[in-house]
Amino acid sequence: MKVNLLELKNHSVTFELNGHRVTLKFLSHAWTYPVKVQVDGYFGFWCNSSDALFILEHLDEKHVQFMLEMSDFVTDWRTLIRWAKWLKWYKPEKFYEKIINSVYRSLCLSLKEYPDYVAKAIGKVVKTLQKLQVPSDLLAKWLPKFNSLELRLIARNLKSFGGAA
Amino acid sequence: MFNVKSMKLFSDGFQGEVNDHTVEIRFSSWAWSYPVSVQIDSFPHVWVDEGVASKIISRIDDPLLRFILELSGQVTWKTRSNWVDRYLKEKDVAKMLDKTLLGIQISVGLHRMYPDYALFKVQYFKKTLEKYSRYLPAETVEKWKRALEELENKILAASLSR
Repeated sequence: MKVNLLELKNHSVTFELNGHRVTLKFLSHAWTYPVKVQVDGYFGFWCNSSDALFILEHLDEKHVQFMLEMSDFVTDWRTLIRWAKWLKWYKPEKFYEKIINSVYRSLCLSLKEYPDYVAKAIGKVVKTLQKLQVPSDLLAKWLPKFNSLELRLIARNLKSFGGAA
Repeated sequence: MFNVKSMKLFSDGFQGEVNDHTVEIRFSSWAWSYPVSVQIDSFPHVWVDEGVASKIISRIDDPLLRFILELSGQVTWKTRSNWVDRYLKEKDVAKMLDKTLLGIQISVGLHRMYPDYALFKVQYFKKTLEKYSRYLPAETVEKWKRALEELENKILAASLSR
C-alpha cells in the first residue's frame, strides 16, 4: 500500500490513498478497538489494526463505499464497529443486506426519541440506496420497509397532534 | 508531504518506507508531552510531539541527523529527544554539536562509579564519530576526538586511583 502522508498529529495520521483522504487515529489505551479509520469526512470506524488495513486495502470497492455512505445514518459507534468486522466476514451480497438491516434497525430504535432525525434520515437513506446501485432484489425488499417506516412515523406524529388537541 | 510505500498498520501506529528508509511511527495516547515515537531504520526511536515528528521525516537523508540518532543510542530517551529537538531548532551546526558533546561528557560522567561501562560508552561515541567524520566539519571532528580522548584518560586514571 502506497500513501501520501499529509499530516502527522499527536494521536493521528492523515494521508491520501487512491484519491481518498484517510485519517487514522490511534488510542493505545483502547485494548480491543485501538484504531479509528475515518475516510473522506465520514463518521469513522473504531477497529483493530487488521480490520483497519482491510478497509484501506478495499477502499475503492463498491460495497466499502456503500458502507462509508451508510455510516452517516448510524449514530452509535458500536454499530459501526460491527460493520468493520462484517466487511471481512461476509461476501458483498450478504454484506449489503446486513448494512441495510442495521441502518433500518438503528432508525427504528431512534424513532421514539428522535422522530425529526429519523424523518430526515429515511429520505436520505432511500436516496442513497437508489444512488449507490444496490442489488435490485435488495432494493425491492428494503425500499417498501423504509417507506412503511416513514408512514409509521407520520401516523405517530398525527396521533400525537390528535392527542394534544 | 511524503510518499510512504509498503505501509503496515499496528494497533498503536504504522510502518512504511520513505525515500528507501524504514520509518516506524508509534502513538502513545497517555503520553502528554512526547506522544509520538519515530524510528528511522535501525536507529533508536525518538519520543517527540507532532511538529517534530514530521520534521524528522523530512530530514531523513541528512547524515547529521543520522549521526545524532546513532550517538543517542547510549543516552536516555529524554536526552535523545532533547538532542533531536536541538538539531532541528539550532541553525548553528557547530553550536549544536558543542552542546551535544557537553551532553556526552555529562552522560559519561554519570557513570564514573562504573568505569568499565563509562569506557564502553566513550568507545561507542568514538566509533560513531569516526563513522560520520566525513560529514562533519574538520575542526569539530578534531575537537570531539580530543574531548573523547581526554574523557577516556580521565576514566582510566580514575579507575587506577581506586
